[in-house]
Amino acid sequence: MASEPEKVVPPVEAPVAEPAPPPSTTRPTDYFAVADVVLRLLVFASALVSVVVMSTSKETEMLPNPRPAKFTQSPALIYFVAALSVAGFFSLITTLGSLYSLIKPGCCAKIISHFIVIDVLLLGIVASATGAAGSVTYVGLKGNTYVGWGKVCTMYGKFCRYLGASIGVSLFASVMLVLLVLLSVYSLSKKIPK
Amino acid sequence: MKTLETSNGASGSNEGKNRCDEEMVKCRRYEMILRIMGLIFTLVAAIVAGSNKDTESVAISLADGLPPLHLTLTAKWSYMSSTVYFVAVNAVACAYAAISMAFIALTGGSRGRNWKGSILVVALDLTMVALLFSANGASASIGLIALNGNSHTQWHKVCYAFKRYCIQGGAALVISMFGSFFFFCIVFLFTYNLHGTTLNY
Repeated sequence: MASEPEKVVPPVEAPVAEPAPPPSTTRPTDYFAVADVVLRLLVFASALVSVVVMSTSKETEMLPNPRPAKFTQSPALIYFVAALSVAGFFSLITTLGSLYSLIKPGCCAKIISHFIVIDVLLLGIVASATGAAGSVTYVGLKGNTYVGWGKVCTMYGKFCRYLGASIGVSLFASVMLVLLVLLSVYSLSKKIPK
Repeated sequence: MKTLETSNGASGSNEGKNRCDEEMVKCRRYEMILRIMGLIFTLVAAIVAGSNKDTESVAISLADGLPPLHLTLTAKWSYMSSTVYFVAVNAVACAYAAISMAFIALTGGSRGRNWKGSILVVALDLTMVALLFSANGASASIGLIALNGNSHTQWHKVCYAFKRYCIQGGAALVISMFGSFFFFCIVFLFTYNLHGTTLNY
């Protein structure tokens, strides 16, 4: 039992005068998640508006026999309503998903890439519906002398205005979808481990 | 730490880099193949739709009892605005596929971690997908009206007289649909890459 020849000062266990690191619970506002939810809500709202405006665009002209103009008379317009309803439904689902991911941050980072694929598919669907309805409305507006198709919009003014508004809003929805995919790609790439 | 030769420029763990490195060449090859296929299909669709011209002698019956009047009518792609839009969009998509292939070959194909260089390419890819799908929808709806007519708006069917014109237009539409599918696959491949690099998160 030898005594210690030198007194060794025991090392200080606890750090002295070192400020505690900032707690990780105070996270900054995740602007990308908020912008994500807002854009998805915009897409859902514009799809809903397009479907409602197109569905209520019925006009009846009192000719010798009353002839109504409805969206069900053209298969392209029926496809427009169906495609935008599907787009609205799926955008509602993804809105709820990204809202959940906003409330519980860091839970589902993998879900963003699934949302990107859904958004690109929705973009294709909405763009094709816009193109189809837009071409039919354009022929109805301007007519086509080579094929012998007459103008329709001179007689049914309200119908054509409703159609034009609906197509314009769906064009806005497709632009929002492009921005949404770019935003998702950007926020996903920020999560790449450095 | 193994230094990467590719243009990634980001440091990371060894395993992550190795996995990204060996998959990078595969992904780049797939992407080039997809772009080449997209270019070919949209080029063929633009050419087939742009050379669509048919001259037929159509019998128009004026009234009962009178012999039908034979008119020589021409159907051309430039007579209809939606087919003009279709040809224009396919030409733009073909040119974009060529330019983006040259851009990626020159800058080394930034994928995965080096996302900043490729965000412009992704944005333009998305707009090409949207444009191609809208052109397909427009051409399909006008083709359907030309095939069946629309009794409510007094638009008579046309395709019974111009069979070759309608068949050629339909073929161009199918080819363009394949081309737009390849453009969609390019975006999907990029997302798959991005998803693979963030899997460790």
